[in-house]
Amino acid sequence: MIEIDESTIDAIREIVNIGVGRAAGQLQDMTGSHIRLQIPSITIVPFNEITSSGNTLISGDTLSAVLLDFKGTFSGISAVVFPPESAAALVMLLTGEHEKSPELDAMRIEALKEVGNIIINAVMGSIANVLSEHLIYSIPSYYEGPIENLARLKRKNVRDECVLLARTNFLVEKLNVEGDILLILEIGSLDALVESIRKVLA
Amino acid sequence: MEEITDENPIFRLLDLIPNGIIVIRSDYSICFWNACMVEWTDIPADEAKGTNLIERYPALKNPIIYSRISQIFEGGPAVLFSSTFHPHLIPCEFPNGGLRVEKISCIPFYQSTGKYALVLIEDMSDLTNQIKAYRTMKAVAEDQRDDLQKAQDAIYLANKALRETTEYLNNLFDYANAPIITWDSGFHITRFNHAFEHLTGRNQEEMLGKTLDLLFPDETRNASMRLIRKAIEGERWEVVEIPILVKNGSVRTVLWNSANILDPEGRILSTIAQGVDITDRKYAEQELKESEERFRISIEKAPEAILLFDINQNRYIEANSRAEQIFGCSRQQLLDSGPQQFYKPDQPDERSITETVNEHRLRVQAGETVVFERNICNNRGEDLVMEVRLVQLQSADRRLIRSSFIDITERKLLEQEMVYHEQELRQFSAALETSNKKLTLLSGITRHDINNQLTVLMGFLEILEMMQPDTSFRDYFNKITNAAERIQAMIQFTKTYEGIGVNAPVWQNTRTLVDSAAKDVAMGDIRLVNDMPGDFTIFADQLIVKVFFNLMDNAVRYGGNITTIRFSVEKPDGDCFIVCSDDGAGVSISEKEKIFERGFGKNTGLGLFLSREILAITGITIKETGEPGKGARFEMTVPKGMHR
Repeated sequence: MIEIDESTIDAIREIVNIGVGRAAGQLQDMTGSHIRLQIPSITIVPFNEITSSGNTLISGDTLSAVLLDFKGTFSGISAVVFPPESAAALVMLLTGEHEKSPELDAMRIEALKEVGNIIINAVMGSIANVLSEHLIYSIPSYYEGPIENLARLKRKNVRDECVLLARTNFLVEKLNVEGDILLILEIGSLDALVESIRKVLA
Repeated sequence: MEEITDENPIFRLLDLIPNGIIVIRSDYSICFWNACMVEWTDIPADEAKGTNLIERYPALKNPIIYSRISQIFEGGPAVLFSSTFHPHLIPCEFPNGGLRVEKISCIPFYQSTGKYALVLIEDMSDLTNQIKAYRTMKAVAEDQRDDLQKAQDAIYLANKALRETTEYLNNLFDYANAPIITWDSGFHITRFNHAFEHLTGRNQEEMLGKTLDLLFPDETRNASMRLIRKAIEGERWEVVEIPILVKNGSVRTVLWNSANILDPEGRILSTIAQGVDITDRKYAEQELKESEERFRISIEKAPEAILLFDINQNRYIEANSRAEQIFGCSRQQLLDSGPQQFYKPDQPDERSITETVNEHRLRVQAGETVVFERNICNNRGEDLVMEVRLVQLQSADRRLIRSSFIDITERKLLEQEMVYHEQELRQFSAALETSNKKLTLLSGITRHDINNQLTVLMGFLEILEMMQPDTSFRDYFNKITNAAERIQAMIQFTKTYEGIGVNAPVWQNTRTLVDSAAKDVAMGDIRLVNDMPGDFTIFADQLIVKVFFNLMDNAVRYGGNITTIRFSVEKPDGDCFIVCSDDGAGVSISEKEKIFERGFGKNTGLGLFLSREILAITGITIKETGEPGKGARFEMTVPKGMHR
């Protein structure tokens, strides 16, 4: 893995922030709710260390995630992950529903997929635009299960891959729902990503 | 790939898919409209193709929607529009009306001819309806669950409260001070408390399940059961008195009240009765009644006149018959005006009546018994002297003064007479004393003179006896001498006898008397045993020491082979015996009484006669009770009150 300096991390944070800001605007317009999305931290860890990274959100037994494969100069999986209860609560807030014990049924999964689709598209669009890279995307999908199995759905050698982890706070109607945006990059893709960023920075 | 056309075999396959599929170019013009869309929209493919999707479906013009779709053509990923947020983005009606609920995915793909987007429209209506139905059902179930939980919580709380209430009521029932019992419609005892056990002296085994009649004494059983049947029939006892038979056979009087316990249909399940044991109260009331009756009788039958004054009411409330007799007026007159109306102005204490009445009342209220005399003139005009005694009678709720009037008119007259006679007696006593003194003096002088003359006589007789050698006269000389000596003894006796009763009797310690008397007796080898208690005294003439001396002297002189003289005291009830006994020859049966006669004896013959006389001054008697040959025994019986 190459050394990633602080300026590169800052650049990544800015790019993600642009996308997230755009996504927040879209969600706010779409739902009519006052939504703010914040990116408080950017972390890059090997995938096999992700559960021991101290990230309690990710290290939970089960996650609800919206996934998007991408291929290009750098390839991988981008994902928005939530604890299932937070995911259900987020959808309930966005749809204005009230239920005593909300659960992620098929309709709410579709809604969550749209929310995830907006966020991921915005982030990936921001990355692609800023870095002037052309990426090929799969159709977004929904995943529910432990983080370890998330990437394995797509590829086998995920343990050697790197994860760009952006902690996201969804602030909706005074409720703070935490989620993570993950960029699970294939071997070498992180280097390619960093190289592209450095080119832009240069 | 070539330009998208219906003729392209790949897209022909899309006609087979049961979802709506539209393919648009980057200018949003429709280049493919599958069979499903034709069916859902009734728009033939030829009509749709070439038209602008955005223009056809204005909802897509919404900037939020439009900007997202446009991303596709800028190299962005697929865009999803969920049925939740966009249920009718491309409205498709059901044949029978109503819009399909749709999920739309816009998927970019690239051809050499340009950028395209495949718009996949999935009919989510059934799923949405199912999910909504499920949600509704779930919400109902959750509401029901919550209601159930609330009901369970309420039941739990109600049960808890019921348990607590039951426990409280059980404790209240079991440990109530009042006896409580329940019975069923068949009069079987179903429950009772500790107080009831205590009342009847019977335990659970003896009463539970048994019929009530075991609780009643024979004589009231039928009446009690009649009352209980009435209670079962719906009559509620406010207070009814039913005697209860205690296990030990005694009967307690109990006041009961009852209530029937009904089931929801109003049928009597059981009857509960609570009692108050009034036996002691009834006894107390009876006792009080009897006490009041005794008090009334004691007042009514009292020999003195009695009036009761109620301090609180400040009036007389009772007067007995004797009061009517003494004051010579009716009871009502006495109660109205009191006894003061009969008081004469001159009273023994020479004080004003008003002043003394108030003073006496205060002293009585202070707890003092006040006794005084009153001169009265009754209604018959009789002048009487009364001894009045005032006593306070205090009870919890009343303060009474009992005034008793004893007619002491006669006593006062007797007292006056006694004073007169006492004066007379004193005068007689003084005269008698003077006479006695003169007589004593006279007899003393006479005795002295006679003794002198006897001494002369006996001296000359002795000279004559010495001068007369003729022995034939000796016998006469002896007789003359004996006669003279007897005269001398008689003179001595008169002196002694004269002293008896001259001085008043006094209390004397018997042990000291024995010791004093023994000093004048020549006891020789004879042992004196003085067993008289050191604190035993008798009331006797002051010459009694001579009695003790005489008894010891007689024993020494006439007891024969005597070794011991013993004085002791025996105390049967009332009288007591002072015993003087010895182990000498004793007194023969024929002489047991003669020895107390004057003139009997080997010496002067005056000892025991005088002893009996001296003892008789204070009622003490003496007799000889010994067994002849085994010693003499003199018993002196001292009457009750003369010894201590």
